[in-house]
Amino acid sequence: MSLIEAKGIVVTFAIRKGLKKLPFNAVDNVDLEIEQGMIVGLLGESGSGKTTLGKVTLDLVKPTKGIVKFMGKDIRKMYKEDYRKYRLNAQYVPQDPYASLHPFKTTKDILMDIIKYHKLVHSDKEALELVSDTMIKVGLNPPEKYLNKYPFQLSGGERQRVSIARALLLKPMYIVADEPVTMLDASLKGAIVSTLKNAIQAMRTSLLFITHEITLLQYFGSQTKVLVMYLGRVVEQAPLGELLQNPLHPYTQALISAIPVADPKARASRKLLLRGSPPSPLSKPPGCPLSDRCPFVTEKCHKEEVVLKAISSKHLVACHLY
Amino acid sequence: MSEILLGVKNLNVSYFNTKVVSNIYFNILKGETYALVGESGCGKSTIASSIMRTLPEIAHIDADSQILYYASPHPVDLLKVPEYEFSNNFRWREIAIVPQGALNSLNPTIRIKDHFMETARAHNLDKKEALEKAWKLLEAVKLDPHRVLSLYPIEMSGGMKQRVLIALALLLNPKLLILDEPTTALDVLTQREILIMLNELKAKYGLTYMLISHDIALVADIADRVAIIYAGRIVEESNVENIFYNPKHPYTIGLLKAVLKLGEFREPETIPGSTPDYRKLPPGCKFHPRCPFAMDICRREEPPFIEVEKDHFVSCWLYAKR
Amino acid sequence: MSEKSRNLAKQLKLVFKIFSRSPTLLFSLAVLLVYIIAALVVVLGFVPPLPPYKGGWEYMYQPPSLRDFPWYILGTEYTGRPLLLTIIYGIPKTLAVAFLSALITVGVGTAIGLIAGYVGGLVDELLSLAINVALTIPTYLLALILVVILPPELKTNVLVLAGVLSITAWASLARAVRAQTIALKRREFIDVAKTIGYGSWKIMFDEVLRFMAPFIAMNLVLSCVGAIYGYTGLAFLGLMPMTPDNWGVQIYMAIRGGGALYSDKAILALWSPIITIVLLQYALINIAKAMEDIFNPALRTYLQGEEM
Repeated sequence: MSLIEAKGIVVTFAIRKGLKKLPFNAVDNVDLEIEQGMIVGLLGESGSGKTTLGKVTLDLVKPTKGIVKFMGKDIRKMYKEDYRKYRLNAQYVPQDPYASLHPFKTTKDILMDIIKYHKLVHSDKEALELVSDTMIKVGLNPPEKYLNKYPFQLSGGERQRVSIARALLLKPMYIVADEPVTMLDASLKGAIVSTLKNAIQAMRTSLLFITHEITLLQYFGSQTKVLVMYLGRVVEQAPLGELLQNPLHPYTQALISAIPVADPKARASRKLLLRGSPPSPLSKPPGCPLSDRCPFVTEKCHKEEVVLKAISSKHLVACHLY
Repeated sequence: MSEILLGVKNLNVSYFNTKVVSNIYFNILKGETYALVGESGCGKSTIASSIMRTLPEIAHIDADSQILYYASPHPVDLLKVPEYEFSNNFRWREIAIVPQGALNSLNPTIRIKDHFMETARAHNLDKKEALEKAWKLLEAVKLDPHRVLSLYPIEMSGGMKQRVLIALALLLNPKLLILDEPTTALDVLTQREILIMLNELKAKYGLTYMLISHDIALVADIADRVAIIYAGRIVEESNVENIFYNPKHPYTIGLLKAVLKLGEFREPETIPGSTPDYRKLPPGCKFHPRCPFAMDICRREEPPFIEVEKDHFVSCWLYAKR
Repeated sequence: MSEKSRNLAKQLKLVFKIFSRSPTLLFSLAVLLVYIIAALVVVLGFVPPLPPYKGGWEYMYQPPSLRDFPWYILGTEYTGRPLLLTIIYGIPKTLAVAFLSALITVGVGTAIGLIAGYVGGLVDELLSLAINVALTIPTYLLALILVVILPPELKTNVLVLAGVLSITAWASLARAVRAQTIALKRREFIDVAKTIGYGSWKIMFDEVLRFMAPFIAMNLVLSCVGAIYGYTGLAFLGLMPMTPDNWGVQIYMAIRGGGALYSDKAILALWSPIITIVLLQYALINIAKAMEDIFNPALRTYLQGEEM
């Protein structure tokens, strides 16, 4: 039984243009399964629906269609105690470290507040110990240096560590990290990802790592399950190593070839594979969502919808080429 | 191609008693892309603001600092030109800056057309001429002028905003364009498109670029020469091949190791320690607290900036003779 | 615990430092303190009681004299009592009404704004309706009517007066708070607060409220200003019982009974209460501005950092 199981998730939003309300599917019929202790990567650009999908698994967004199950039970139909268990075990590390920390609370306030609210320990002294331990775990050492600081007094990397500490405090079984290092310097990204990885591996926590930078997923190992999303659909799914060696979907291929390579000699060989830019979600092309940009597009792509098909036991792709 | 366009000599900038940029010497050659690379807060943006003369009032530039601009018959020290003259003849006309799109550099309350009009008015450009120019520039940055001119910034994606900022910078045909983190927070595919487009524009308009970035992988893609900045000082400077295949300074090596190449599955390697506090910089080499090769002399004296091989300069006691 | 008291002392020192940055602010703080001390002095009975009413032209609006120093330095007012003394007697009640009214206004306004903004849906629709209705009611007219129909015993009751003055004042604050709450609802820290398991009440009244702390503190002080105008204004319109310890009544009587607009006889009785009111309002408004500095830790610690 997987820890988190999302089936047939559809999330419909509407934009108001004038007097009309135009609906579009931010997430369009997606299945996602995360085993206990597993790390899953969700790869996609802005507008792909990856953040929305992550939030659906955290019950921050209610899907228009589809079910989310936690340890086999539908979160919509859980009893209060079960839901409470789910709620405390599903935590979130958002993208913008500044927007996610309360600007008027010190690190100590933010972390102690959680412990006191849930009465996790019996005394203030124990609470402070728990907070300090967690801070050391995320690399904020010595804790005293950071406890009394407000977010604006911390650097971007430090704020993100506080964010991670906050997610870890309740020792959750599942964490969703939404582009946790996108706003940090390139030289810091590895450190923060490493901190996150070590912390969750120590607690056997599952992680859904949402990003648009595929190289970050490399820190989690070549066996990491990766889902590639485009315009609300999953277009390819495979273990990371397999995905990098043998990307099947044209979108994945384009993503991989577009990654900056720290190799000046490789400049000439890099070309753009996709035409144009992603369409607005309101004007999704019929048939395959990539049909207006794909270099391999055929008549069939404009007419028939694509479904995720298994090419091998772990590699699925949604493309008419296969 | 090897004529100097901009020469920065002995640039020293301080805020009250804290020096944030020290002894900066570099030349930008006509037609090249010169990159300043360093972590956030290292002083690279301060250098750019010094060139554009947009530093806040409390910043103090030493009297013997010079920024020589070589376009007219004889070089002009931009720091000594009166503000009125600089604003009329140099700012935006000769040197322009493309700020970070992610940082809300566009006025959210006015349309793109008005952004162009305001810029034109500020620099005494005829309105009709400006509109024609805007049209051509928007096409050059691969946007649809008819649609984009009437949009508000909030209706545009990150990539679109970045392109508009580039078009705005080119309005008065500058010779030198400063690009401040031009691809931060953009999706991978959009990044690629913008970089390709920047190269095309450079060829088309005969531009020279000064690129500022924290991402060393990005720099490998488009830079000709690179200067690595740490604690307000240049620690290494050379052409891009030397920096990537033959880095000398431990900080440069650290920056390169911090980023994973495609297909590399390994533990992240980070530079130990954290960015220094400018009010309490250590004596000697500013990098020594974080340097794995720190020697006794590093703690006492700042190393000189020497040429270790042709066109390759380093400031490190590993290479300087005592 | 000594750490808590050490922290408090540090905070107070910082607050004082904020005030001492600007002479205007220091002056305003001093003025407010003087008023508060005066109020305490009256309540604790350290000033002599008001002498009995003495009607008649020989006693009304007498020029200043040095007898019984210092009470007669402003002369007498319309009841023959020393003007300075009656003005001082007006301080505690004015301050009490002002502060209570501010508390009610801000309390009700914030709570309704937070709940309407955060809960949304039908609750928001109903509360917004209430806010809009309250906004369209002409405040002074309502206060006027209420004051007129109130039985005389209640007319001088501090709590009742405070209530009357805040009966519509809460609405514009509620609207502002609601707007801010709706904007904050979309922010990521609210998402995280939910996953952390905070209940709606905690999110509303701790996370969101804390965000608006400077704004609310400022409004608290500004509501005092509005309430003082309301209180003295009602009296000036002649709607309050004619007690000499009400500054508005003094102004009213100085014009009606003393002909202050036409002659110099009651001029002191006209200007003294006006200056008393204006001085207090000026002090309060300056302090309201400083509230933002005090409650915003970013600005607070910036000042603290400067001394390093």
